[in-house]
Order: sequence, then C-alpha cells, then structure tokens
Amino acid sequence: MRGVRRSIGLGALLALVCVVAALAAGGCGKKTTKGESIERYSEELRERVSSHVPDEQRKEQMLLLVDQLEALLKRFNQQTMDFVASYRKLNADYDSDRPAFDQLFADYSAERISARTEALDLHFKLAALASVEEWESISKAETKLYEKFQSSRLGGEGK
Amino acid sequence: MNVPRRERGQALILLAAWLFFGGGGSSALVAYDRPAKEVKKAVDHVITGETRRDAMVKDIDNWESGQDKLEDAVNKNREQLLQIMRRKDAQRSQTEPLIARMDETFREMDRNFLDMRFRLKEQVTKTEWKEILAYGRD
Repeated sequence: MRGVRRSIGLGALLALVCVVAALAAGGCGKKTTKGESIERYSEELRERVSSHVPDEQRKEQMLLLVDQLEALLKRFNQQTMDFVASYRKLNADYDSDRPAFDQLFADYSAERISARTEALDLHFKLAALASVEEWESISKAETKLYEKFQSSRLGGEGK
Repeated sequence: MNVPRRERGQALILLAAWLFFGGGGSSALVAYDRPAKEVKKAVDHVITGETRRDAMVKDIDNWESGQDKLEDAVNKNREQLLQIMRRKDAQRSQTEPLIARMDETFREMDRNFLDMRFRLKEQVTKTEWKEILAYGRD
C-alpha cells in the first residue's frame, strides 16, 4: 500500500483481513494467489491458532471466532457484489438522479460499517482469549503475511 | 481489471475484507467496476471533439489526483489503527477516533467520485454515455 513503509503487526483476525485484501488488491505480484478463496486463508489462520494455543477450551473458542469471521467475510462479499451490480444498473441509466446514487452509497457504507464493527468485535474477543505469549506468537506469524500487503494499492491497476 | 470471471468473484471476496479498513464504495467501484484508466480510454475512443475530450480526461486526472491525496490520509490512519490493534491490551475506544476519521475520508472520496461521474455525464449525450459504458466490455 502506497505510503506505508514498514511492517505493522496485526492480531490474528485483522491479519487475515489484511492479507487476503492485499492479495485482492493485486499488489503482491503473485497472480496465482489472486483467485484463491477466503476459505484457504481462514484455514491458515485456524492452523496458526491451533499450533499456538495449547489450551483446548480456549483454542475451540478462538477457532469458533475464525469461523465467524469467515462467515462475516462471505456475507460482506455478497453485499459488495450487490452494491457493484446496483451501481452498474443505476449508472447505465443516463437519467438516474444524484439522490439515487447518494442513497446507494449510503446504504453500502452502512453495511460496511456494520461488518467492520463485527470484525472488530471478533478481533478483540480473540485478543481477550489469547495469552500474552500466544498473542505475540500469532501476531508475529501474521506480520510475515502482512508484509505482502505493504506495496499494494487498491485500484492501482487502473492507473 | 482484467481478471477471469471465476477469479474475479473470488477476488471480490478478498476485496471485501480490505474494504473493512481500506475503502468505501468508490474504492470498490474503481477496483471492480472500471478503473479510471479504462474510463479515460473509453472517453478517448467515444468523444470525437478534441476540446471536450481533453477536458473530460483532465477532469478524470484531477479526480484521481484528489483521491490519491485522500487515500494517503486513509493509509496513515489505518497504519495507526493497526498498530493499536496489534497490542493485546488495546481498548476498543482507542480505535474509534481513527475509524471516525477514516469513515469521513471515505465519504469524501465517495462524494468526489459521484461529483466526477455527474460532471462527465453532463458533458456527453445519452448515446455517448451508452457508448462510453459499453466500450471495452463485450
């Protein structure tokens, strides 16, 4: 991402969000990963949690959070696809007025904020469940993945 | 964004994750509807009058420049946000001011996007608009 010059660590859930986003943005230069689905990255996160959290009860709770994030991403993905489709339809009509566009964008913004709020909830729940050592380990592992994110830029392909 | 249909759908799943913290509606459209580069190509192809064509392309260029500056601001806020979230002892309340600033910037980016869209539309006929949207799409 332009303007971001150094690695920033993430909590496990947030790292998943950013890593998959980086791949989507196409800035990592690995075309083979571009079409890979969210399930793969969710599974990677599950493996990290499994390997770093020895306590079975907490591990189970954390894996459940990963499941919830995956479901959240899929739901928001559908909302984003719906938004793009609605925009195309509206944009194709020469006579569409501004209020219709404003409403479409406002509705999508509300959906995004709602989804982000849920994502943050999951992030903080995960952090609360992890011990300091576990959190540190997971964050370090995820930071390596996040580094791929640094040079990417959403929409940059269009420039 | 020339991505095969199947990959495009999957990539959009990934984009959705990015949009939590990295962009609003205009960002999604630039990435998955039509980037500015393609719009300029379409304008260049469809609009025959040089003066009008150049003015439209310049308008798009200006819009891009403005969005870049706003995106820089988003990047700085997001960097701070992620630094906070890295910490296990971080509090939800610490993220809220940053998120509020980012959302305000996203709203401004969306407004700018729509302003640009309507400025372009006002400079073309209904037929030209249809041709611009169809250009490059089979």
